[in-house]
Amino acid sequence: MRLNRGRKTARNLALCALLGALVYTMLGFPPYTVRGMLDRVERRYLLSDLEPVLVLVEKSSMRYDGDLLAHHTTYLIARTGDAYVSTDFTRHGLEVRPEYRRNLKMSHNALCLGLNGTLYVAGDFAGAASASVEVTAQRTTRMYDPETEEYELVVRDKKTFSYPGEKVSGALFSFRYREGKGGMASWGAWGPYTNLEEAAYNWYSTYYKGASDGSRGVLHGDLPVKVTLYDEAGGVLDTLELSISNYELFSYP
Amino acid sequence: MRDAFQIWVDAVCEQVRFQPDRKAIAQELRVHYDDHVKDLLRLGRDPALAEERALEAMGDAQEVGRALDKVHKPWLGWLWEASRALALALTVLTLVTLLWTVGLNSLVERTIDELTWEEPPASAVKAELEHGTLYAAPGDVTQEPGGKATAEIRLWLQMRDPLGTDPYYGIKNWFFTYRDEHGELSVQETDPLTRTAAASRYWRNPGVSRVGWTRHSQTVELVLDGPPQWAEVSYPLSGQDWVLRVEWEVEP
Amino acid sequence: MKIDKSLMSGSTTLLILSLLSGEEMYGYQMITELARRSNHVFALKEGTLYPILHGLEAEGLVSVREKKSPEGRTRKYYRITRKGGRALDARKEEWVTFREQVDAVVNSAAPA
Repeated sequence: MRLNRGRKTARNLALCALLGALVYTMLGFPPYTVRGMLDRVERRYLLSDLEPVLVLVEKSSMRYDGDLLAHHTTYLIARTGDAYVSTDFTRHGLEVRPEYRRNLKMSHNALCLGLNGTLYVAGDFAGAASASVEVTAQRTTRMYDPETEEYELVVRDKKTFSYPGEKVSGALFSFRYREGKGGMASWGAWGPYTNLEEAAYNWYSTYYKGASDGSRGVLHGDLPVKVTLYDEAGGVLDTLELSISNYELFSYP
Repeated sequence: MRDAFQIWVDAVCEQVRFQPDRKAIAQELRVHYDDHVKDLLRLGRDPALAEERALEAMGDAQEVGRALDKVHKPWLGWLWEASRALALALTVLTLVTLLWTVGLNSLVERTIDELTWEEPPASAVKAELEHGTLYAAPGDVTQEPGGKATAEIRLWLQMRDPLGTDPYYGIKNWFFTYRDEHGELSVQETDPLTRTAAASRYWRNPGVSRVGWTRHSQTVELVLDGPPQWAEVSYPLSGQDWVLRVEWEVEP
Repeated sequence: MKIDKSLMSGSTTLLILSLLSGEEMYGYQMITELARRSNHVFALKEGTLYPILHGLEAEGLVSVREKKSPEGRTRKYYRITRKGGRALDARKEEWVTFREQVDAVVNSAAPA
């Protein structure tokens, strides 16, 4: 059947719609917008009316084997009522993978997220003019007690790092803890670290048993985070007790 | 050179805003004009007069051009072109996505493996095992400075393996024992390049596998203290007694 | 006798569809066929045939294809579509009614 131009155009556009739908289905209905990502989180975690608090898009310089395209990760903090969630979606070409970098976190009243040298704390901060944060890191070893025949956790080093906050919005403060470009200078597991990032990496690392080249892994640890909120006059308005995983605080060297 | 008719056609086409259609219109009008001229010549008209009459019969270029322009709507023309390009792009995207989801890399690798597959030579020694047949043949020898030599042993494995869809399944995970007049050496493939005192081993080709029947072809590269004469390959954990003896031709 | 242009213009679609209802034709063929069948009364300005044909194609009343003629020239051949056939029937009916009414008026105006 010979078609005229109008018919051909209609046929082509119909084909495009079909192929587009097919590709979108094959990719698993990836969300490309922040709203789409939040809808996905809502459905998966049985939430509703999520509104974004923080949206950060980061292009990764890292390429995995066989990857032709760069990964673009969207980090999100969102809230509904007094519940806060943080998650991320990584786009690779047209594909979007949920929770590719981090697992989803959910908490009430406030939530903190460490990302590239900045600590983000989300909560209801409408009345707060400024804030500061204190993060405590520690190095522990397990000591054997021959009398009780039990292991005891001994704190070897402990340090509290304090940073001033910057108000991003009525629901978000950011605390920059990395100076300059960051990076970790010291490599040993011991030492008087003056930098939160180095402490979060080195104090929690452990040498592999029998490894002669000094390779080591980093154990997970939750660091207490204390946020203090101030009013216009500088008086303390409120304090929040939160915690953060050491893995969110450092970037691998 | 532009003849009188070309001037007329150009004047028509100038009116048509959708430029991609101009060529086809000019072509159609030209064929018409030529037919008319030919008919007039057949009637015995003088060529110059025939051309003049035929051109006159075509009518006013402005009028024809404007009427054609009304029919050849630019928006529809461009929409049509755009829909074609979009359809083509989406077709390519669909194919790429299809390959991506079924595994583009494995498809490409398998095709390359399939095309570069070499059958074992007739001179190869072989061992019939419970689950397949193993072939071995001497490969190239390269003299290294300091009296060292690199010798290749080529291996083929055909195994009846109902799960052999993964090309990395097969000899790769086997332990081999290599023996020559200097002694014995166990070569374990955990790392593609395992350097020991006497030998290093490097698997060249991944296998070619299909469901039900898997072929692997691999090259073991040995770094030796001197030129090789013979080598025995065996696999102590196979539960079967077999030794494949590979002999290199000794240069005089 | 040549017919007044304005009388022609309303019925060119009808004439062209009628021509094509019999067989597939190319432009010049239509012109000569039209002249032959009307005893050289209908003579279209030949260039104006093409806007009409292209318009009919855009409306889907005729379809077009390129074909090499026996002499080896590539020509565009037009053929009536099913939709074109229906349009032709409607135009024919219109035309018959029109002609009857014109005849009625013209004949009644004749002096008794």
